[in-house]
This record gives sequence, structure tokens and C-alpha cells, in this order.
Amino acid sequence: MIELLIAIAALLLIAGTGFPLAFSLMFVGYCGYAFVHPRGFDAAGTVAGQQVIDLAMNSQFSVLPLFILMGVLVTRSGIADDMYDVANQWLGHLRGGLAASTVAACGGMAAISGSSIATAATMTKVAIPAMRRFKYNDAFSAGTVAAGGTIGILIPPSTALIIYGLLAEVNIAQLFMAGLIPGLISIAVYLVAIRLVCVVRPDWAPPGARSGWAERMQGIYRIWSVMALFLLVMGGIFFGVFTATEGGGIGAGGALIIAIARRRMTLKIFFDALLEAGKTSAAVFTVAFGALMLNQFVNIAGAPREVLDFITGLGLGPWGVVMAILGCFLILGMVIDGPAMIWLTVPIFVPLIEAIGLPIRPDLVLVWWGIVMIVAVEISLITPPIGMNVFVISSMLPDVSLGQVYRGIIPFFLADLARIMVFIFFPSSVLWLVTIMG
Amino acid sequence: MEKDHQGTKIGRVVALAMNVLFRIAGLCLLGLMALVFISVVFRYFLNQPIFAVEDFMSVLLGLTIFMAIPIITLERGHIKVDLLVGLFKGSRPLDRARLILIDLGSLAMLAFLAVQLYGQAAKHLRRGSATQAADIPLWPFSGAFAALLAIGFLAFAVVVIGNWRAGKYGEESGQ
Repeated sequence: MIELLIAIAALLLIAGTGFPLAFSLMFVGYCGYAFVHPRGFDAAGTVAGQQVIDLAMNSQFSVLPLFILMGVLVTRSGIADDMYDVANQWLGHLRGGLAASTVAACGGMAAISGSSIATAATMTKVAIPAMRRFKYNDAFSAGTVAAGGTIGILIPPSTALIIYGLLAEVNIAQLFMAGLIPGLISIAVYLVAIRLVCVVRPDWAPPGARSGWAERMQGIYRIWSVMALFLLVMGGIFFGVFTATEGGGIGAGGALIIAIARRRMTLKIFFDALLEAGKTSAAVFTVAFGALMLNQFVNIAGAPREVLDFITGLGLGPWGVVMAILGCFLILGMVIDGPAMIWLTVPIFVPLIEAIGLPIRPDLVLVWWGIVMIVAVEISLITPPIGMNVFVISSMLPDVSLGQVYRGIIPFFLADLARIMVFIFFPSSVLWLVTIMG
Repeated sequence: MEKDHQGTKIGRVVALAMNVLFRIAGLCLLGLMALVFISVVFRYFLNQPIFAVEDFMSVLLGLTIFMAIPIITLERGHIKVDLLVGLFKGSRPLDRARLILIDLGSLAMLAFLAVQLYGQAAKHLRRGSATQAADIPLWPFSGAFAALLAIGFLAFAVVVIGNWRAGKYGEESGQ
């Protein structure tokens, strides 16, 4: 246990100074492994090389760059504007309708981009000007985009779910299916939060313009191809027609075809998209190399067993342990940004969750935990002092202070607490689709 | 892309090498996407699965990742936590020392990984390790990955030395 605590402290210290997370994880994992293993640095070096090659040449993990590419291609084809327009045409005339449209469009973008920060950044550009035009309260507008953006890592295909699957060795197709219903519940809960805000402060969110039915149908026509692509990819995975990796290939290929058909793709944009996806994938994989090395150290040091014994000794019971871990996430989320939390905590918490005897099907407990953990990470994206989505929005809207954005987030934060409780105490809300998938 | 190392001859060579890697990485990813897409189409519509598709996917994945690592290192595009960075911002010498240590540490880690992958390549060659279906030898690829990391190390070393000489550490352009 003492080795683990020293390693965590060293990791936070090294990574905290701005040293790349990948290298920090690799360094701490390597040194820790060498310290614990009888063959010292020799064995640690061999394991490091082996882990890196195994991961980089595992065809299953092609799923990550492929879905990243799909997201980049669709985003660059300008679909975000169309999605927002369509949501606006259907909901914008209601009080708080533009905020509801933003959340709905965030859900749509999430289904494509898989990244919370990308969703928040895109929707800031698209939704905030419209909300300002209709005299929405700035704090509420920014809070809506920040919170709506978090859905990006829950609705599949999500890079965070892929990373979790990769680290915890959980079936990615099952994770995708498990994320669908919680994603829809999240959108519904946010819509309820918006409605309640409108009841309390009607002046914050006046109604927008009403669109005619012809206009609404035209809007649907503009985005049908992307909706069809999402249904094709998720449907294919759900019915077992293809694997998650193949779904990524179909998604990326389909996104390219759509972008060409929409006349939004030039050779330059295409090549830029390839490079952006390649660089993002490499950054994620490099961290994965380090995280797996740390994982090796944690396992060889017997840390999961010791942490389990310690927690069991506290007499918290399985649900108490889950709540304690979520408490850790809430505290960690205040100082570490969301995705980094996944890398840092999976090696320690996943063996714990597996071993505490939760009343959930043993083969699905890590699928359930993946979703609960991602929701916890989502919440961390909008909690002070380090809320990445808040930072993104604040940097794009210099006239809106961080404090204003955080104030606008309060209703959504309360909604977040409600939904995470639903996912924890009603595991079937997460696992139902997984149990019936092909 | 980091531009401030391009003033010298060696800097221009680095920039050219990175540009080439940049493009090949993009093409590898394109190849990966095309391969997966076509394999699904062939299997379902032509009832003709492509032979050893997973072997080719693993090779293309590895090449994409290792070609992009030098680029993200040069662009300082690695994922960071920045938890304690604020503590250094008050003192310029301290912050400068931090930035130099980060770059030297990154160089050391690139060299470490290159050496370990070279070791893996030697092991693959010794054992005759190959991919499962097509029996493609692994050592040329693990060797190429090691070489790519070594290129990344050299290119980043040029940038670090260039920044050091120009006294750019602690300034916006330095990092």
C-alpha cells in the first residue's frame, strides 16, 4: 500500500508540473515496477517495451482513431450548425427553447464527435450568438452549453468509453450500448432543469421565433444522412452485424461520403481531418502506454488486494464503497481535468469495483461502472476550480466571466447529481440494452 | 507546428522530416479506414472476407501512432494535467527551470521508449515472431517504431537546443 501511495504522490507531483501525462505515468510505473520486481529495471524495461508494442499493434484498438476520424470529418462538414438549426426549429419557440435546442444539438453532436470539449467548443460558436440575439441570460446560456457539452463523452461513440474499455479490458460494443439510454436520460434531465429555470426566472430565457412545418421538415432533410449514419453504426454494433472497430470504419467511411455529398469536403479539409485525428489518437495512445505500465506496477505491487482489504476493513458495504469512490472523483475533479481522471483511476478503482461484490451481474459490473464513472467525469468537467468545459467556453466568450459560467451551471449540476443516483441505484437503466444486444 | 527551430539548416531538415511523417501518418490512417470499410463491404455484400485484414490493421495502427508521436512531441501536444503549474508562474527563473526540465524529461522518455522498442525488435527477430494470419514478420515494424521514436528524439533535441541557444525558455515562443 505504501508503494502505491508514494507512486500516486509522485505521479501527481510530476504530472502536475506540466510534464506530459503519458511520460509521467510511464516513468512512475517503470520505476515502481523496477522497485517491486526482483529483476529490477531490466524486467521493468522489458515489460514497458512489450506493453507498448502489444497495445500499438492490437487491431481491436483501431476503434479509437476510426471513431475520432468519424467525428472530425462530420464536424468539419459543418453538421453542428445544421443540428442546432433543426433543434431550434422544433423547440426554439418555447420559453427556454433555445437552451433546450442547445442541449438537444449537444446530444446530436455527442453522437458524432465523442468529445465533450469539442462539443462544448462547437456549440459555443453555434448556440451562444442565437441565445444572445433573443436576450437570454449570459450565465444561463454559457451554463447550458457547458453542461450540454458534457454529454459528448457519454453518448456513443465516445472516446472516453473507448479509453475506459481499452484500460479496463471491457467490451467496447457493450460500453457503447450501455451509454445510449443514460445519454438519453441525461438529455431529458437537462431539459427538465431548463424548464424549472424558466419557471423560476422566466426573464432568463424568452421564447424564440416559431418555424413553420415546411421549414422543420427541410431541416430534418438536411441532417437525415448523419442520423442514418449514427443509426447504421450503432444498429450494426447492437445487432452484432459488425464489431465496434468495424463500426468505426463504417462510420468514418460514411462520414467521408456524407461530407463529399454535402459539398463540404476539399482535399485540404480532408487531409487536415486525417492529421487531426492521427494526432489526437497518438496523444491518447501515448497516455495509454503509460497507464498500462502503471497498471503493471499496481498489480505486481498487490495494491488492488491491499486497497480492497483496507476498504473492506472500514465496513462500508459495497454501495458505501461506490459512494466513497465517487466522493474521490468529486474531489479529484476539482483539481484534475476529466479525461486524466480516467487514466489515473482505472488501474486502482476497477479491481476494487470488481471485487466488492455489488449485486450486479459479474460479467457486466465493469460495463455499469464504466458508465457511472464517465458520468462522474462529466460532472467534473463543469465543477470548479478546474472545469475544462467551463474554461473552453470562458476562453471563447471573453465578456462572460468564469464566475458567471459557474453560476449558470448550478441547475445542471443539481440535475447531474440526480441522474448519477439513478444510474447507480437502478443499474438496469444502464445495462438493459446490453443484456438484449445481439 | 513549432516554427522557431526552422531558421537553421538542421532546423529546416527537422521541419521537412516532420512534414513527411505528418503526411505518411495521415495516409496510414486513411489506409486503416479504407481497409476496415472495404473489409466489411466485401464480407457482407460480396461474401468474400479479405485475408488477414486484422494483421494489416495492426500494422497500419502502429505506424499511424508512432509517426504521429514525434509530431505531437514537437508541437507539445501531449495530454497534460497542469495541476501545480500556477505555483511556478510567480517566479520566472523557477518557471524557466520547470520548462527546461520538462523538455529534458520528454527527451529522456523518448530515448527510453526508443531503446525499449529496439529491444523488442531484436527479440522479435531472434524469436521469428510474426502476425497471426499472414505470418508477416514483426521485427521490421517494431524496429520502425523504435526508429520513429529515435527520429522524434533527434528532432525534439534540435528544438530544445535551438530554444536554449535563443534564450526562449520562459517566453511564449519557447513553450
